[in-house]
Amino acid sequence: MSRRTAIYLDSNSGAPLSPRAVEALLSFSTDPLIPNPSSIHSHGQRAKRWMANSREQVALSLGSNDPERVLFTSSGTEANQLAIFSELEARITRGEKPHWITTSVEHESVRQMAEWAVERGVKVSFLPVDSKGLVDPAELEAMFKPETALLSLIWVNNETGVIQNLQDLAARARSRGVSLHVDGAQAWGKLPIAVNDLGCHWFCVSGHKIGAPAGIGAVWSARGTRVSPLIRGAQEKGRRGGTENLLGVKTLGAAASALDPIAWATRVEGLRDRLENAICDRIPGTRIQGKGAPRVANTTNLRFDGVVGEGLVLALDLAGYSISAGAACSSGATDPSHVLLAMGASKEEASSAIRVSLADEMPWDVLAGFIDALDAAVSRARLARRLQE
Amino acid sequence: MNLNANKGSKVLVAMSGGVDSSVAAVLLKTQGFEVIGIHLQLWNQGEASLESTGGRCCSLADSNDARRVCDRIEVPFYVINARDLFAEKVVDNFVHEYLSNRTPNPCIQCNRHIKFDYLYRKADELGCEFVATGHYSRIHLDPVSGVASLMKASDPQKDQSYFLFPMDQKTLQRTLMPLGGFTKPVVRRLAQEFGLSVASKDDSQEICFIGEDGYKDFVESRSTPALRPRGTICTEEGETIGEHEGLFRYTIGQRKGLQLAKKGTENFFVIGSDPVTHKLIVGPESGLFKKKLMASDVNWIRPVSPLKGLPCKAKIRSRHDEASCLVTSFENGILQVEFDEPQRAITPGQAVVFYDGEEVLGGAFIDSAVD
Repeated sequence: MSRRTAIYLDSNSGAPLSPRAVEALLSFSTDPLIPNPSSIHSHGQRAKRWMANSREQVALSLGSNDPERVLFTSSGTEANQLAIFSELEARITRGEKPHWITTSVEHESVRQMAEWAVERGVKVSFLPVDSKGLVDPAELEAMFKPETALLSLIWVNNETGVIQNLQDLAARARSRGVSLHVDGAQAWGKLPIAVNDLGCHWFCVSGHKIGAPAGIGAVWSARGTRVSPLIRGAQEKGRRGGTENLLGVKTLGAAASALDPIAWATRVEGLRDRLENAICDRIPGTRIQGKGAPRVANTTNLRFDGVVGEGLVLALDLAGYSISAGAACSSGATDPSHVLLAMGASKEEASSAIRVSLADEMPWDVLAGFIDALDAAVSRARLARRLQE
Repeated sequence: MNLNANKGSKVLVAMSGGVDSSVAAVLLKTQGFEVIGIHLQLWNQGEASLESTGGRCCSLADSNDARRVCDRIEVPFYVINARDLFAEKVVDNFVHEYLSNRTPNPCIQCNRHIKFDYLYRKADELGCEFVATGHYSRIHLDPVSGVASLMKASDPQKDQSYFLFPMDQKTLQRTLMPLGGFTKPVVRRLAQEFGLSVASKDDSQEICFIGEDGYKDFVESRSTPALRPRGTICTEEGETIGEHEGLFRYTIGQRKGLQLAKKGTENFFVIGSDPVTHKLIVGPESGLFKKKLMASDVNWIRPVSPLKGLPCKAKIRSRHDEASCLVTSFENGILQVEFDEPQRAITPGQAVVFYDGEEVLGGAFIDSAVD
């Protein structure tokens, strides 16, 4: 497509490649051999060292000094599903009817597993969230049953950036002997993580959210957990079959080694806040979802009274800015956001939100230009609505 | 071609992924328009399906076909979700019409509510002056008055003007239908010349949201049995000669599937029904011919005043040879159409569309046939 390069404001969908990941990729241009880590020869051994090195880099970025707790997957989706499957499958096979608590604002990869679980006799409860997008610990307490086996939580919500109070919720799960699975895809690189202190059993992450390419993810699992493989094979100590994605693993490790969440948040948060304030000042009827809750530094979820988000995404794309709305389905059409519905939005409101997510610092001029385009698009959409009514 | 349309005007092109709308988009691009391709997702044919739905639309394959065309001519392309609106305005209406003993035309409802309503709002949102479709029909703008007329396509085989009668001046004046002057073989050849992968794709057939099981199963799956009571099959004289499993299963003029046991009824047709007693009325073919019909929900494309009677020609279904008639409008908006010759199988729910030569004058939905 020969259109001019657009400004990318959709980092939560996929972050730009980190310079270290690019470096790792370029290393293959001088030595194009990607050996099989299972091979005995020296090339294979080199591949094994790369694997070990990346495993260590990923573990360190999660605040763990035990690389063996890290297992590579194809994606955050596989990581989440592997954690849930591992916790529930053995119990189902034993004929138990375990209880699984998750939230109403999870990523699709977890929501899909709810369907799977219900079909297999698992009781699934969905924790509601308040209008800010937060889980109420009292609601969690009320949901526990003797047979509750697992709590699955999205730590940082991908659409709103809202951060759940993980420490508190984890402590409550631990006191009941309930395993905790954390979807940490949007937390990785955005929050400092000390995975051993979180009190979780599974922590799942995804490559393309931190500047590695899509196609690689990882699960950290606590000591004492048992992985039931989704894909059988000798690789990853029998926990995940299939020849290792060495290119993905190497770039994932490189990207992970570059993460510095505190410095990043310091750079980005002021910019995001300034953006939000400027939009609120400029465009009447602007609402910011999750504003009252703790949020990661780069994400803003905006809604404009009487305007459909999907149309805004299109109009802004034509103006040269890439943002997103709701949850994109495979064809590219947009459905109302289940996250905003759970936060109490009406169907129309849940269809009207857009998400802007910043990758890193950028000149204010760029965002000022974005605000102009947004203002024009919102005005046009409101006029179009009035013309029709 | 719309005279208001200048080179460089922004035009939103509704793209189904079929050959017609693809060629429409390419033609407009080559004529210098700034084209934006839009595929409306109207119905879930199963998201996972990668197969083209073979004449039905809204599969992932269809939106990908449209996307490829836009990539090829280097214009933006987007998929827009209109599923809720389509379900309400087209699908629910379709089921409701059948349950009201009418035979609906969902394509007209879709044109009216989705294509020439929702799409114009999208065009406004995106700053597009025009909306274009791949319909075979022409729009003529009077250079002096600016009044728009809807005309038949040059190719009578493909003419789709019947389905477009609900369009009003406002929409017509900003609509482009670049295929109106072409025949289908020419459009296919153009698609080939442009190197479009959809050049040999099958034409869409039947109703896009109805699967192979047919409309009867569809209506049944979307209604409670109480809404589709069984009843008896009677002759016009009132003699009961059979039973039926719901009036929605029959349409005026139908002969097949009546399963009448009585001798001498082999050539009987459905000629009507009684909505109160749920009786299906059958009889010999002669009973199908009626001279008059009443219609409502009228749209005139240009201001006309048929209060004193307007002689013109009318079509009572899409595949009907237009027939001479006199249209009289009553103050309450109801139309009476009296044909010179009795017409076969005037069917409530279908549209009656009026023509003056090549021009579409307007139309309405048929409520009843009168002797």
